[in-house]
Amino acid sequence: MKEVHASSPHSCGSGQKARKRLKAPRPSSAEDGCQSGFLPLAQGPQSQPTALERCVRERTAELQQTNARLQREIEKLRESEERLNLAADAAGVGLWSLNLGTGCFWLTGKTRELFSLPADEALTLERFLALIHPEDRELVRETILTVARSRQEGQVEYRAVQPDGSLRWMLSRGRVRCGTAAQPDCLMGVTLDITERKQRAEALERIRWLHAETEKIGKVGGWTFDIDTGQQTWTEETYRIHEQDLSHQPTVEEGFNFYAPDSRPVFQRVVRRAIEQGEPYDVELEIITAKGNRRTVHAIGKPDLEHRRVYGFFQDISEAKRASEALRQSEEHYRLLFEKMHSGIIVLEVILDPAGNAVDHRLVQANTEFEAQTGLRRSEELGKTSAELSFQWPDDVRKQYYQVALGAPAIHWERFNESLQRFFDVRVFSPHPGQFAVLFHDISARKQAEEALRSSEERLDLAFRGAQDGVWDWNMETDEVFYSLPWKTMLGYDESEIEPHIRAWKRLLHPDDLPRAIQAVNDVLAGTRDYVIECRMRHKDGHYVDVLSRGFPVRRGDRLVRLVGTHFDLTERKLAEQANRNADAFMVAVFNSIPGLLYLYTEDGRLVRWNRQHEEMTGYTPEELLNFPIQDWFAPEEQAKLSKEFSKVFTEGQTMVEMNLRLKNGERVPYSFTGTKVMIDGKPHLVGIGIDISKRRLEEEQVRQLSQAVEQSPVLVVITDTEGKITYVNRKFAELTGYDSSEVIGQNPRLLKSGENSPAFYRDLWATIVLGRTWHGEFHNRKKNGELYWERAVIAPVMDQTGKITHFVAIKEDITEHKRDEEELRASQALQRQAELEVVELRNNLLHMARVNTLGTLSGSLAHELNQPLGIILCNAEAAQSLLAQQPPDLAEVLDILKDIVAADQRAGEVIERLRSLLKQGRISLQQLSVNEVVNDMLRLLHTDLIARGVSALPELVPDLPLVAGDRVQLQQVLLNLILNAAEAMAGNAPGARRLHIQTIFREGRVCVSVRDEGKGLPRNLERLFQPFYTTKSQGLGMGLAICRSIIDAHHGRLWAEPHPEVGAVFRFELPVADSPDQP
Amino acid sequence: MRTPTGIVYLLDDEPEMVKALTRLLRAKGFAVRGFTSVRAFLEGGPLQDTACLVLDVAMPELNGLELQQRLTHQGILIPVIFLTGHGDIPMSVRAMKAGALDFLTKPVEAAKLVKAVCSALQTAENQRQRNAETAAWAARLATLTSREREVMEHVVSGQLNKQIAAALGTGEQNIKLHRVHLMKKLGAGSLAELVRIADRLGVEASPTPKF
Repeated sequence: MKEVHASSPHSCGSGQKARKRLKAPRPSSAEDGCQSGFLPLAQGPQSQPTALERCVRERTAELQQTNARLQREIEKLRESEERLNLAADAAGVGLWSLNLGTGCFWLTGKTRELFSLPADEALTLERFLALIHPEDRELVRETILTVARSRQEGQVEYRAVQPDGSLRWMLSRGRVRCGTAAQPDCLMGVTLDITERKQRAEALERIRWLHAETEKIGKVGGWTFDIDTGQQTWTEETYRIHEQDLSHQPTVEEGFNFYAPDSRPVFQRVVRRAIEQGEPYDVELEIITAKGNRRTVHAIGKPDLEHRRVYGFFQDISEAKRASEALRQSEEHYRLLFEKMHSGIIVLEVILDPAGNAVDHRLVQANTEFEAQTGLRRSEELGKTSAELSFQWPDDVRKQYYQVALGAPAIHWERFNESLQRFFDVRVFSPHPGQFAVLFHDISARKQAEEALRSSEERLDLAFRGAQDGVWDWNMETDEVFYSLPWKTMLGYDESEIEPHIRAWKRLLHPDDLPRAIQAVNDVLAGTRDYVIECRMRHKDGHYVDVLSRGFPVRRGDRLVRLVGTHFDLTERKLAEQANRNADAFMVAVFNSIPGLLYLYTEDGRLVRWNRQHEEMTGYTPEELLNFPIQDWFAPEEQAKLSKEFSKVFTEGQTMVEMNLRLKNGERVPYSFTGTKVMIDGKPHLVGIGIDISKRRLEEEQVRQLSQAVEQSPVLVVITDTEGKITYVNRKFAELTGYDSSEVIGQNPRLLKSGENSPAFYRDLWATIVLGRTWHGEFHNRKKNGELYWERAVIAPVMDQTGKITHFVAIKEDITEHKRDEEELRASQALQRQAELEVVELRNNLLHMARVNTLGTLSGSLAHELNQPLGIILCNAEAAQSLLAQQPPDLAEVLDILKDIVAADQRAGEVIERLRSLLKQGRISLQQLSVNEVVNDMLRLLHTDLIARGVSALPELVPDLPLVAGDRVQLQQVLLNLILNAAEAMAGNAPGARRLHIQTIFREGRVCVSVRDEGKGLPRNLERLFQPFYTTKSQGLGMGLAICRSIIDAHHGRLWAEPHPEVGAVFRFELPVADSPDQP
Repeated sequence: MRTPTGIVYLLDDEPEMVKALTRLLRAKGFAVRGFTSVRAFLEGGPLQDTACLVLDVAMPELNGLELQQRLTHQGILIPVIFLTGHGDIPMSVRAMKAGALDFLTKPVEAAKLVKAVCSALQTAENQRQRNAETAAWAARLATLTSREREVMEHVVSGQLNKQIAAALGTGEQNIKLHRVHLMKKLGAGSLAELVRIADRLGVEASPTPKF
């Protein structure tokens, strides 16, 4: 309040505060208002003296009124001032005025507050300036003076020092007020605190700077684009990214053209969308800078359609892109390497305990080869620790690996992994501190091979050392030969005395053995045979050492590179053999006396020992027999049997077999062989004896022939034992009776009884035969089907050598037909009976003619020869019957018929006669006979047979030959054989070329018969033809000619064969002429 | 038993046998001609239509089986009865396969022979009749028009008139007419008979069209 009093209206214009420099002369309405408010107050009227009382009183009253009014005015002013101060205070603005005359300030409370001045302290200009920061003090002083002089407004910003030392920014503004003399008397103004504003501006400046710097560092350039004008604004960095001068004003076209051609469409699209739809974009694009460099930018744009602009930034990511691409490629490269390498690789990290010691590991990586090499699954192993993994290392190995992970040098070794049971080549290194990588590959196979090789070498070495054999090794490539010390010492040489060349071997080899040895070497080189020979090598002292040399080739691929072998000294063995030989002498004598073949075969079938009979019987020399292959003894068709029996010896111990031995001359002889397995020198051998069974075979064959004849014969044959039990029936029996042989064997022939024969009949039968006599008779028997039949039987006992009856033989014939026919034709009956008798006779013959089996051959012809006249008779007889039944009967014709019947009957009789003579049994009985007759008989008998064979007989018989002494049957037999042989020899000829020439001549007191065929000729060895069982026919027996010769021999004649000069063979026999025609 | 007409040829290399057989067969009422060699038989002029041959298997020049083959080869289908002194199974099989009617073993019973000869002559007669019938049919077949022949080929393949008409491109009514005509011309009373005639004459059935 004092201040207010003191500042009377007159002093109102005096400045209390700092002078101000006028900056912008702008009138302030607030100051105007203030000014006008002060002015009426400043001019108040003065009171008048008393003398003039009335006047005075009046005046006084006036004055009092005026005073009151003034008082009110003052009161108003005070209110106004107060209001102003309050408003200024509320706005934070301090008011002041500076009296230019006194240099004192008038201040409002707010102003004091701003400067932290006490309320009672008067403020002078000097004191005010002292409150200002020294750097700003002159500026403030200057500004006050300028404002005071120019009478214009001015303002200044400065820092005021607060009592606590802090600075505050102030803004003061003021202007001059002029007094009555139009002289400036005071400065008036306001002051406000701008510290906060100043601070904000500074912060803003700092941010701006930071922005520019970070933009530069991050290579991020900002831009805006005005949609309507196309104007663009770039930040500095944007210019840099584009490598464009800062002064350049980019155009719209440039905005697009900066982009690389392939990026432009993308950019256009996103920008269009941004402008049209307000969509922000964020893309990676390529730009080409003003200098032509290509860069990759990350462009982000955001439309602000309200302000019709798009803004955003570029970030140059070229380097980052390049770097990331390079990194990616590098990673890819390593990853591929890791995956594709041919070794397994695993990376493990070690696990440390709190004290920093490695205690465990964990698998972090493994490549595919790891799976291949270990058979484990990567996916199942990754991330697992040592205890969980499928493969483990022993603790000491593990520790070493951990050391590698922690900085120790890398490890390379080959190890056997117990848990995987395989050998690995292992390299361990640390790809990264705290990790170790194990690079491994499986070498089990190589290890095994190495192991096998090592052991095989050791074995060989040991074997050689143990055997004391001499070893030689011929290297074909260098042509050097390594001879071991034993090889040399065996021959009495020192280590250095033999040159390492094949020459040395050749030189020391016995000259006689050289070709054989060279052949053996060639054979082994050709791969045809193993190299094993026994040879003689010359000892240093001149004698020869028997050596067993073995060798085997070593090939590399197809090429033969070495021949390696041994020498074994056979001297001791040879000596031992010699000793054995002596001891064997006795045994040999025994062997050689055995009447059969004695042999010893090795397991592979080579003959190694035999007796002398073996040589004699087979016709081979000892040289040929040694190592003779067993299979070469036998014909191809017997090989299967041979190999079966041969192997049976070695599997079952022994065997016995009958086979045909082939002699050196090609002949085959039936033998019975035995074979027993024996062990000789620890090796299985076959030892056995072979016995010639030709004789037995012959007998068996004869028996077979006979039985066949019986079996095939057209009559029934029944053999019983002495009890009457049937032991044999032939086929005809089965055919006729309907009983199979199996049904009747063991039965009594009474099975066939019809009851038609009386008991006395059978008694007579038995009475006859048990006395050893032959019984003849007819049975009326019953067939299986119940039919009755007649049979004529001859029953004879069979006795053994002692005369004891062993069997009864019944020869029976079905005579049912004949019985029936008897009534019809007497003549025929007579013939039948005779024929029957002859047949029985023939049967008897057969039984006794064990050596002569011609019935089979003749049966066809026989039947025809007999059937023909029989057929004629039958036809004629039946014709006669028919004729006689006619009315009237043609008796002339019947008479003619009867003549023909008689003729046919005679003819049949002749046939029978010839047969009978041929088949007559008995001792040789020499008679005088005509050879031509015998020949003709035979040709007639064989007529049908020869026709059937397509053979034409061309006999040239010299008539009136002298008679010879001979047995008709036997000579017929000889002719029969020769003719049939000739016919058979021509079976392969064309039908027109089967001519049989039979000649008889008389020469040098002998009758000579020749039988010639036009067949394939004779074998070279003619004599063999006459040996028993020699045959060229597939079904022949080989007996015919042998028998013929024995017959002719018995006639003191000669039988031989010779080839015909043109074609075929000629068989001739000659017989001596009978001494006297009268001699029986 | 009625003795069939026809002639029995006899061929055996033995004159006595030929004589005896001739007598026997004549006595039984057959007409017989006997020969003692193949040549004589072959040169004996043409054979009668209804005839059979009694032939001995074993003969010097040409055996019976070979003669039979030669006859067959020449198209002379005369029934053959073989006689043999010693027949074996393979020989009889061969003969029967070649068309022999019987295979008799000497001495042959009159009854068997007569039976065989009767049967052979009957066969020959049947064959003759059949040939005559075929010839008659063939003559009738020749009288058919080509259209009737076509229709016949379709009919015997079992086609319906409608199918035939479609195949020949004409009306069903026409086919019916042709059918009546051809049946009449051939003397066929039924379709079955027509098929038999076609079969005998070797008229090929026209294949049935596939739908």
